[in-house]
Amino acid sequence: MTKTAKAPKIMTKSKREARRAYCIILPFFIYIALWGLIPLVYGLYLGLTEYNGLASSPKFVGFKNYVDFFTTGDYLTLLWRQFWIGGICLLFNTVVSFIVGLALNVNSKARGFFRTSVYVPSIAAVSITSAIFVALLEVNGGINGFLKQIGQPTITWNYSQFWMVFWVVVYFLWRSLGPAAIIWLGGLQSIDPTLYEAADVDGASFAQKVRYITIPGLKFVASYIILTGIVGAMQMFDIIMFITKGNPYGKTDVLMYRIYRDGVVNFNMGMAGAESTILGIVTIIFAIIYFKVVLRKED
Amino acid sequence: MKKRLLAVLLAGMMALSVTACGGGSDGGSGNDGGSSSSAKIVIPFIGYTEDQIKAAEQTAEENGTELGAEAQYHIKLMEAVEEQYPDYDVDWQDWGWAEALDQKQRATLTAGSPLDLVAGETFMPTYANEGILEPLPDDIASLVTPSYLIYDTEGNPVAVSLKSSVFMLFYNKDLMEKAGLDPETPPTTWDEFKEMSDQITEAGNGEFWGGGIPSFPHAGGALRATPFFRQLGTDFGVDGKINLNDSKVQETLQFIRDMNKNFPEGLGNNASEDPLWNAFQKDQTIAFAINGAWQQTGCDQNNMNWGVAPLPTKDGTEGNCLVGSNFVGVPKASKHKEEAFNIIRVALQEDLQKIWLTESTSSGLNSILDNPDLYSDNPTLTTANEALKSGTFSGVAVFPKNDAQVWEVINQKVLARTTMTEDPIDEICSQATQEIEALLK
Repeated sequence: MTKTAKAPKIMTKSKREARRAYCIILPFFIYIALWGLIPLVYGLYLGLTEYNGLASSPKFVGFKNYVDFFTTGDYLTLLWRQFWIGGICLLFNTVVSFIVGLALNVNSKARGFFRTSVYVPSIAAVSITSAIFVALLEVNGGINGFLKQIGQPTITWNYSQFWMVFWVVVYFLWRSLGPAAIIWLGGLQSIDPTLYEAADVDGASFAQKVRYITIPGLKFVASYIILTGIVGAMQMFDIIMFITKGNPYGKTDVLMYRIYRDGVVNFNMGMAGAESTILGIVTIIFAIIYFKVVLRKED
Repeated sequence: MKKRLLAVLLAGMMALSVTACGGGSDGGSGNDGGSSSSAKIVIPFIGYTEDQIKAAEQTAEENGTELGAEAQYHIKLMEAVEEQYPDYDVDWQDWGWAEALDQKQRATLTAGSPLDLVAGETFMPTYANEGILEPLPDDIASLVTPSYLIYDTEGNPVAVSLKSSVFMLFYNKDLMEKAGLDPETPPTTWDEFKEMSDQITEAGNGEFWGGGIPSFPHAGGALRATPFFRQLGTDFGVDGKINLNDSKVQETLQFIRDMNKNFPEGLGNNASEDPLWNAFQKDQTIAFAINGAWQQTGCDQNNMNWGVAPLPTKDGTEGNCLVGSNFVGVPKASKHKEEAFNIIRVALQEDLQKIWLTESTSSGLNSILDNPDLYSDNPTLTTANEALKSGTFSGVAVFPKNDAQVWEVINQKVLARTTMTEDPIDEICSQATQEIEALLK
């Protein structure tokens, strides 16, 4: 028997292009694998272990951390608080940024100035702006000084869960309003103006134009803002860490801040891994619910 | 085939280069597996980096003063090591303090390239309990008072403090006088403390206050409250178990709550300590402050007419808590153990330790504590050193598992809640105990 030579493989043009494309994105895949995928998998693994960063290796404990999460009650309280405090922030941010977006869309000579002004807080460092904010909330801080000047009694803000959540929402709004308003503005400007002209010809009111042209035209912008907002709200911890530190006596503590503390302050890495996994799953569930229920319904 | 091989090689190289970038260290870990004589001895916290020396010199120049005791100590330590061990190649690192230092040290331990010496305060007992520290040689352990040592679970001393303080009662003589009290007779018992503080608060009528026991919702609160528990022979934790349901713990918490009424609302339990210390030393509107030796500097700098006394006791039984300690130990995995112990020996030399006395900080050296001539002209040191000599003090209680989280519950949900609310103390303790027991399981 004679051995026949293998025919050389001839690659089609589309295959060559596909290979080139893969080569281009390969570094990004490697980057994501190294900095995203491997830590993610390792985090899932840590959730099944007990590890304080001092022992030579993590000790496998199965689902103990998950059982603790659902049975002790404290973690569920933190998850619930993450949901409602984050939810309030998201709600106000979505509504107020939409109103600001509408205002920024008005023709005015000063609109450039206002568009810049509304964006500036989100550029400033959280650590610095929150420190100023905290100084204003001190017992003898600026806000109580103002209350004194207008003859009102001072308030010990850090004694009250209501007030601390209130100021968290205020700070969140002040900081996050700009980017969301600019996205709303982009959406508003992408709506075909002839639709409004046609509506005017038909005698539509302002409310009708908003209801039948603006809101449907902003559906995809809204879904982007709300979906990223859900993720942001469920991951909110820096504002809590800087402004309330979970006070008064843990009443503004949220799960994400606890994950941070468990992981890199208290070195209960196993629990932090389990908490992260649960929070991640809950966030995905919220996003899917929003996507399926709200967006599909509108379709 | 060649192309495929080339692609795989390229991908591999890329991955390696990214990994190498992520590795980070500039030789800080130093332990490259070489022989102990050629590799660098990596020491965090003690000693100063060039940047730290420059900063200290700049501060001294701006203030028109000499270098502070802290800077003097660390610089002279480096000089002494260089002089006594000229063949040592020491890499003095500035890795910060508290959580930042803990995080970095644990990262090196996890990575398998531990430092040659670890430092810290509140987390050092955890390192000791975990068994990662080498027992101190006897000659080092015998140099200091037992209060300045941390022991592992087998009873071996594994870490030694290079300096420390205990809590004392600093008082503003002018405010005492304004309230009609003898400024030379500070309170010595809990009852006197409360009576005098109440009297000052009443006389102050919203302008100045007596002050009480801080209950900051972090370690600063627990540290200052602990001496009062210990005076009653109890503590937050006993034998690694939470002890909040002890009636003496609850009695002390009631005293802390009662005393808190002598602070302006929100000051004694603020998340930040600064407003309270500013009120005491700058505004001078608080008469009594519980603090370590460093408070003296604040009083002097603000021209306060001040005094210092031991903490008031319930029935004459002393109790205190070490604070401001710089503990150092040598990891078992260090590749330069002997060199690291030699550096600790230098750090404990009497000529260097005497530098601490210049800022009223206590040295744990027996040779200094037993020689009152060295500090008898300094009331802060005399008070602190007498306390150190009369008992074996330690830092706050240590829990065998999730120590930091347990303390978080104590600080926030016991101490701060006690003074922020009127919730029944037994209910506060019972709820916190439940939460802590789950953490200790």
